[in-house]
Amino acid sequence: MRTRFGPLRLIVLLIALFLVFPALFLIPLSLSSGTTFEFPPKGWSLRWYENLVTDPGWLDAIVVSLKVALGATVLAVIIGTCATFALFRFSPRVRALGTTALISPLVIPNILIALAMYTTFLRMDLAGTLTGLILANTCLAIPYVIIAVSTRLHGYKKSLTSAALSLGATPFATFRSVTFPLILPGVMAGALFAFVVAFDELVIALLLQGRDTKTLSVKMFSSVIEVTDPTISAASTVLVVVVSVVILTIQLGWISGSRRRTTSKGAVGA
Amino acid sequence: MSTETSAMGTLTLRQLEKRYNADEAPAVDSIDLTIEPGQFMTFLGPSGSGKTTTLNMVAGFLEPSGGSIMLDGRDLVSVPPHRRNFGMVFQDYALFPHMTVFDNVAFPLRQRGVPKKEIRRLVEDIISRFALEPLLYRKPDQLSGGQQQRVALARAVVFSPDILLLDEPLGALDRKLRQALQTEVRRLHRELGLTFVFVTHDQDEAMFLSDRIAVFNKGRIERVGAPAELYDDPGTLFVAGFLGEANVFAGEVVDASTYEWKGERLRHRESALPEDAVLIVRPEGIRLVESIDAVGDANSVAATVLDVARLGGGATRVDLRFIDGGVGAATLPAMTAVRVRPGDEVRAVWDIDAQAFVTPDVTPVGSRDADTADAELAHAV
Repeated sequence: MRTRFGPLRLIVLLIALFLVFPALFLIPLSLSSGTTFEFPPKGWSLRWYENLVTDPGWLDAIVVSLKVALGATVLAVIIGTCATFALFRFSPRVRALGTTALISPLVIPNILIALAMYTTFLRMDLAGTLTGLILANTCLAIPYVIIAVSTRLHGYKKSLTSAALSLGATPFATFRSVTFPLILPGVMAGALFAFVVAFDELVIALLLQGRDTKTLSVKMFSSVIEVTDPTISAASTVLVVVVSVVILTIQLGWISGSRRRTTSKGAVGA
Repeated sequence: MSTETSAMGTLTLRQLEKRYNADEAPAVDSIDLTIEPGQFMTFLGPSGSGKTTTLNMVAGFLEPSGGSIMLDGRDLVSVPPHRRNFGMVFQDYALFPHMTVFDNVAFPLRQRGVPKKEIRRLVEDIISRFALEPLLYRKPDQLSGGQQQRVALARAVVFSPDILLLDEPLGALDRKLRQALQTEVRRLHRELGLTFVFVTHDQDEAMFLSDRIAVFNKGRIERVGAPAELYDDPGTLFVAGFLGEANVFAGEVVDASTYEWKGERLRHRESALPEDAVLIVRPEGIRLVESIDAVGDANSVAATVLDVARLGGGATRVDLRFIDGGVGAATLPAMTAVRVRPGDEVRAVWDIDAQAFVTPDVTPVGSRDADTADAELAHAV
């Protein structure tokens, strides 16, 4: 076994290394005591993290990004989940067509979406507003919710719905107590992707930005162009750590959840 | 759960019809059927014959294109499935995978707002009836197929439904387990006194379980009757072939006591036989002798032995070929000395009481195809 999969393991390891490689530079850089990007850093300090949370420009950007990401996540989860359920009521052909249309933001270049939205939002007085940013990011995040929820719905046995109805559950009670709990992992995964996508989106945020609506990515982008100090490394590190922690927490939660299911519980209480 | 026999539960289907496309033959075609309270009624038929479609209309998952479904005189067609108060058992069990056995069985009671204490009492009561106590807090994926189907049965009867519908509930189980569960279903029916409507394509299962069997063919009910009645006097060639095996002799009625098949003159006692009546004999009705001298006053035809095989239970099965090229079989009871070998020329003999006349099928039985069956399933979900 070991010899047979040896080369494969090596390839996987190399790909994984390639993917995390930038972070290996990023984190030491953010801890540098110098004012330039120097690797390896000459001394260590937390001054750039301090700067990140004390400089109103950076702090505001983080808050805007969180608002945009949360707003877009909530909207995308609601719209995306409803849309997926609707798609599954159609014949496979119509479903495929509808799915393609709804996930098209994935393949249309963001710059095109950004331009179209910019001109439309200008006319609607939405450019530069938080609402505009949330709506734009919702559009980008919906495909991720649809993909995650569809995967889950594919494995859903329709006889469960029939069974719940035959046992006296109203259609709404059936959804609440049977269908939704079973697709919840898909909804959660979709929400997670939606959040991450909206949190670090740059192109649309650049065009739609206003004086009070600069997201973290926009702030990072302009800081790279204007002032180059390692605060951006600190910001990036925070971003990487936050996203990784969220994903890991949920994945570990699922693993322990499925473990719990395989051990029988005693007949106490309940 | 109420253990006394309830007088409720007369289910009446009138001119029930289901059409998916106006230009196609209906999936269910003007079905008339009355199911008495406490009866074990089985819908038996090949896939695509309309039995599952009919059950799904009774359950409320499919809307009929015409006709009515009445329970104790009350029309059900406009009643949504969750208000029909019918228990249903599915072939894939349909247990809620995120709930324990307890929560699955408690589900219908919670939907009805039964008080907590009462729920616990009812669930524990039904669970002990099925000997599932040790599994009360397991999830469905930790149970075997047989255990899952017991939980599904418990869940479908715990709320005292008016009728229990079973859609091929034992189809996914292996033979041994299926037999064990058949016995349990029979016992459950006897103990609850509930009306059962059971769908299956397995004729042995239907014979073993049912008070009455409705044989479905191409969207229609071909015959309804008690198992023994249908077996001994199937009425149509389709029922004869679907419910057990039959040796078929399609000849001509000569007169009020003679039937002729391939030059063999056979006696009968039926008055007013239709011209195209077909004579059938069940394999158990046939015995084999070496020459025509040993026949006596019974009916007999010439046959060639194709194969001889021992069955479970000690009986012997002899496959035969008749002079028209058709094949048939004789089942010889245990303890008979079997002297025939493949290739032997024999006389297949039967008493007049062992024969029955049926009407031939209008179209060949083999014309049903898998497409119809798939379409039926696709629409049923």
